[in-house]
Amino acid sequence: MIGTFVKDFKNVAGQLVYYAAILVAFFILGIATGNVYFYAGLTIFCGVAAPLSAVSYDEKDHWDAFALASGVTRRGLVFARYLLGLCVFLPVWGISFLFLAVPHMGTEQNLLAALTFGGFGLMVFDILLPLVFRIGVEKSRAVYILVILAVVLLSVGGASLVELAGGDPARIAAVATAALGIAGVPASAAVSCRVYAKKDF
Amino acid sequence: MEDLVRTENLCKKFEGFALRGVTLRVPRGAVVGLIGENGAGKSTLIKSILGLVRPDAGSVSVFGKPAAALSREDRGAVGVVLGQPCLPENLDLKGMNAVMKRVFARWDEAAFFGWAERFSLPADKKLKTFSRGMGQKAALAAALSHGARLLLLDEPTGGLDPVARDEVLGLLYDFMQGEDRAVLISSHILSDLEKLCDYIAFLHEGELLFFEEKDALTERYCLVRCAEGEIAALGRAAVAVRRGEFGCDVLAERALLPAGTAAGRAGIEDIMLLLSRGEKTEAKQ
Repeated sequence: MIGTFVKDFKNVAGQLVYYAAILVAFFILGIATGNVYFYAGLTIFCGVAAPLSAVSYDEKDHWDAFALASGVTRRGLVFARYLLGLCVFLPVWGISFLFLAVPHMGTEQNLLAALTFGGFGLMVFDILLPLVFRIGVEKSRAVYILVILAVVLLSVGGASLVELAGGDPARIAAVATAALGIAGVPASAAVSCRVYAKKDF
Repeated sequence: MEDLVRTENLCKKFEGFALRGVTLRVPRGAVVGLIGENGAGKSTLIKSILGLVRPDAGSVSVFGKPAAALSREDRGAVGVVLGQPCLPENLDLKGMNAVMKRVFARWDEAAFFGWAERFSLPADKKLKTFSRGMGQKAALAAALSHGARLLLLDEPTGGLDPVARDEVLGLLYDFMQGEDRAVLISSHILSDLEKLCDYIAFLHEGELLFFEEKDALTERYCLVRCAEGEIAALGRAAVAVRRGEFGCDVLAERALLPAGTAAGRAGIEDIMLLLSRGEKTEAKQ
């Protein structure tokens, strides 16, 4: 698993620098405008960006066949991609909470925004990675935006239901989205392992 | 003799192709050449042995253990060159070394760079800048740098010029000097296999037509050049015939030839071509 992780990291290192530059720009823009949503919105895309690129390289290089023939387990290959995704996503998500330390930005609304968008990012990650393992990167890219839309619509629908029931939709939606995103990671990894266990290379 | 690889009645069905009941062994100390046309099932067989393809029926054992039960150390003792580029093209050899030492428990960095130097591979250029032949050499360098005692090579000399091919054959000879080693190699360059192999396995349309010692095979078959009207005189010896403008080439069983029949040596290529493409003679139908 570590060998594949190191290879993936080396493969996508150039792109990570590019992502980091964009995130820094959006972070500064967020502070300058007092608006956390510029940065928080980007976190949705950060969970899957690195694993998608890594698997794309691996499909081109036929790496998985070589790795499996060399003693890397199918589970190890799956976990390496989850590890890469989380290693990129978690720091990016963590930084979105730094806005709360900025004067005048430490509001509950910004906290809920960081939780909600991070939850969206994780939910997209949880849904998309098993799809990548099942149907490949190119087909998954086609459904990527649909998955994001579905996750957002589901959250809006859920929040509306909470509001109808007389609860605080923003709070409950933020906590529920983040909790679902986090709880979905092991479930998603388990599904991906099952998908990969049956695959021929 | 202990077998490092053994397949029993191996079956795998894909859409439009099926590997049917392949029973094969790779004895310790032997080089087994796998021959057959494109799509005959050579790569599928090698991938089945490596656990990359899950057989529908039959069994595969490597080092005497079921293939599915091999440990990381066991798998590390198998060097592979797959029929397609499988190394990370975005990395150079130094980056590849950093990855491989985390993949293989017994990765030998000095050996890897030694092979790279012997193959004149630049250590600081990305693999995607390598020619196909250089890529094959890099794959071979990796296969030979982690203490393998079994090599499974799918078209390792594909894309190599004759000098490089000869070099690869030389290093496979060297590899076989070690005890407890074996090689299963598929190639379309049958002259290479003829030089190197102890056994030949011939796959045709997913079936194993024969698995025999090379010397026994070339001893068993011979090539008779004759006119159309002379084929019948060969009787049960005639196996398959290829008709040409100036006569016929008949693959015949030497032991059954009528006394006094002039016969030439049948090379592996003649045997393969006539068995797969030649017309079966009436005696063999």
